[in-house]
Amino acid sequence: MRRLFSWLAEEEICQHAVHSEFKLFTKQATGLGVRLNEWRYPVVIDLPTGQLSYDNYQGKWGNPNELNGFLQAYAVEKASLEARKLGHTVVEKSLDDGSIRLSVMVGGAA
Amino acid sequence: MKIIEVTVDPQGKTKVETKGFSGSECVDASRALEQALVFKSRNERLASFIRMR
Repeated sequence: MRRLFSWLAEEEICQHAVHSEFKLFTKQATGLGVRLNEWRYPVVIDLPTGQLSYDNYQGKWGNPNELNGFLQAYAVEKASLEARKLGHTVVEKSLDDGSIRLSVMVGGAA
Repeated sequence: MKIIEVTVDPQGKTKVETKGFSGSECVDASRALEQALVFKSRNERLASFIRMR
């Protein structure tokens, strides 16, 4: 999953994410569809707004932890990319509670 | 050393803290990164980032 976000982070369109109209259980949604592990329906991201559309029937059609993991991995990749674009050095560390901490050294390493 | 710490929890929520800055430097330093990251909400974060070629 981390490689997926690296691809997305580099603005590459990979085979795991497709822009289209998707049929969810209760509605149609147009956007970037991302297939999460063992989810029945894709998570559809409306690109202009970032709004997520999905149907996972309170977890029965898709484990919410998969979506949470997607969002965490995306945030980490995006933060790292943007910090590096600003010329900073980034060190990543996993914490005991499942959080990920990025230490951004402003201006690069000393 | 001036450091900005970005902590992302398992649900994707983020917290930004600064260390080693003085006065309003920390606000300016973290604002630049926060604006680049658009860490105001989950929706805005995705909107700022995912673009199609």
